[in-house]
Amino acid sequence: MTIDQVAHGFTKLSREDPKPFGAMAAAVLEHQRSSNPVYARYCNAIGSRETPLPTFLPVEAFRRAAVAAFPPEEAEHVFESSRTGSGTPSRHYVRNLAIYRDSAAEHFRQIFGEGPFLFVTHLPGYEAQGGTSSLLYMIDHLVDRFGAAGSGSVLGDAGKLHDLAELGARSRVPLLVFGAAFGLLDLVEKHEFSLPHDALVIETGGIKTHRRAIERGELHRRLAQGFGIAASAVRSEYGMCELLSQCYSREAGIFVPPPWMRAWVVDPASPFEEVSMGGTGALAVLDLANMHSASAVLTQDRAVRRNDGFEVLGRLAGAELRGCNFLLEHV
Amino acid sequence: MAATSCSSMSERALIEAIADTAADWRDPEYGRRMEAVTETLEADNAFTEEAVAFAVNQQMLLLTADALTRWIGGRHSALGRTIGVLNPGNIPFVGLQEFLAVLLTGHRYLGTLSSKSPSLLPCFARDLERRFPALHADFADVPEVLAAAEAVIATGSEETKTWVSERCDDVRIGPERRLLRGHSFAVAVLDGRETDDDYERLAEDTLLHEGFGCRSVALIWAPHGLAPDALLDAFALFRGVFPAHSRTPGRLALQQAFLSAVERPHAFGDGLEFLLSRGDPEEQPPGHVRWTEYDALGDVKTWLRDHRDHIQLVVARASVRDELDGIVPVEGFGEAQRPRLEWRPDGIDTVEFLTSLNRVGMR
Repeated sequence: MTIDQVAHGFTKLSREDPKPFGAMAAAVLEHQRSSNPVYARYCNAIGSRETPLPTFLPVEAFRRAAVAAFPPEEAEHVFESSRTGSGTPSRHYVRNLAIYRDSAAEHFRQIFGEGPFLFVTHLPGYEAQGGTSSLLYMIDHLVDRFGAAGSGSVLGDAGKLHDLAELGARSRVPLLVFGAAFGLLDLVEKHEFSLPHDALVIETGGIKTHRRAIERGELHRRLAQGFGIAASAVRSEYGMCELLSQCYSREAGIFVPPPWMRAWVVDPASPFEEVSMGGTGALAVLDLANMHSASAVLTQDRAVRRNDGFEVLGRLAGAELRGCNFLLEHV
Repeated sequence: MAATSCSSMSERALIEAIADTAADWRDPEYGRRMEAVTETLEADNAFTEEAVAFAVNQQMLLLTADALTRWIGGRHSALGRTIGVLNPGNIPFVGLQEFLAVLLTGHRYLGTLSSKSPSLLPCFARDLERRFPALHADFADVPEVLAAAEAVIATGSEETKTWVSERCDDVRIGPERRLLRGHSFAVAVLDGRETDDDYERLAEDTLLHEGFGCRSVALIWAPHGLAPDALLDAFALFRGVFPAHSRTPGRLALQQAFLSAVERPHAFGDGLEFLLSRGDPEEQPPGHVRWTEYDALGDVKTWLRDHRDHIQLVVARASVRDELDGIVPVEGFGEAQRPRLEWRPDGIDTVEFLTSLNRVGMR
């Protein structure tokens, strides 16, 4: 199987038939071992291991090197992570933006349907990133593809959100509020809303705010209360600039990957086997949409496996790695 | 274990009992110590036999009657409280200082047990109780500890601190009755005039506990152009006496592979018993030491000021210590793994916190 075949076929995969995924994954990993110098060096240094799991490249590599299975200068676009953490951002050299668009749109369609939706976005901080933000690019594309007339950004303007909510109710188009977790929380703490009963709110992460850390369940409860909608109408999106696929939460904060992505929870110090069901570890993924960079990625997110999905508990901090966090063991 | 209040007479008796127990525990052949050490080495941890022996010897040598009396300095809580201590268990015998401080200030100790270090502290407590039957010390799981505690001491990440704070709110343990310590690590600052002896001591500061624990050196600032060869020689020499834990090479293999992948300069010992990389001043996973160059010591001072919340201590030569004193806690090479009784983690005096509980309302 060639990479072009993967590019044309990965969004047609179904969860019910895992065989084609295996064939595509094998082709992609082989391609990256031979054409991605960073991944090749990593695999060579790790050596062969008796494990059914792929060799996961630490996501930190995207911050330290050009992780690409093609000459990076030929990238159609480069996404960057936000610079909220340490100085150097992660960079994702994207060979073909159509792959990202296909991945984002097809998974969105599978989860939420064809629409149209009246998109309302509230992404303070990301706007300043402009074209380097993979999240903004994705949402712009989703609005183009699934958005009704009037969709747009409110950026903290509560009046505009009220107007759009009324427009949605009048035109019977479901409202879909897409926003950074802390931004949405700020919004509902300052204003009262009563969104239409069929409205959905999707928070894109940022659970640990500049003010405090907040559990996802508590965040969703407050957002549901603040927007006047059912708790089940608040969803989460899991994505990062290093991955060209996203996951949406189903219920109770459980994320389910698209059919062209697999997720495992592994020991971050020895990511060669899964932790047992319900065990805590680092989230590792294999994302076929990353066919031109690195598909098998070890994230820095602490997660727990839940049946066919996973729950993200937070970031793997230095405290966990240094072993002075009793919570990992006791709670 | 039986409960009692701790008067000054009984405090004296307790100090004598601790000192006598510690004297027994200084003997590697002492039965109860051997039993505790054996259980510790059988537990799921990264402790080596040599590191456990070092930790026990080092702590027991501190516990003389005079030193304990000086440390407590007559500070005592008139009202004995149940103090919940959430022990991280990341290095052998961690939590002994809190254990002693709680008891010597007249409180009741209720601590968690770590599966990594399940035996040393409880065995020591049981042995102490033989000499001091009125000892009020017990161990339980986290929910039990939080349910019974009137004040809490805990260590962990920001996320952990938030979690503990919320649980404390649930059981109405106010902020003034919480001593929550954050995540931190140790830093070494070189000036290029270090001797071989300094480097050997720094190797102990860095490698003894495989990089675990907040007092282990994770980052070394070195003047621009200084070669790390002498330090690497000292690391190799140290590993000859204190071999790495069998899991260490496996942990460092991933780190080394990553460094190779992103073409970052690094060096490592035979069998990956240690790993040092050159780069920005960023904390790496345990056992992986970062070597960062500076042009002027002022740059290091600025960095230390900016990161002081996460710096447990700095080890350096005396002249460098003089320069850094007042910015962060400074100690000499070879002192990081030998904390004194008076050591104040995160700059907070545990004994002072415990005696201050007299002045705050209790639930």
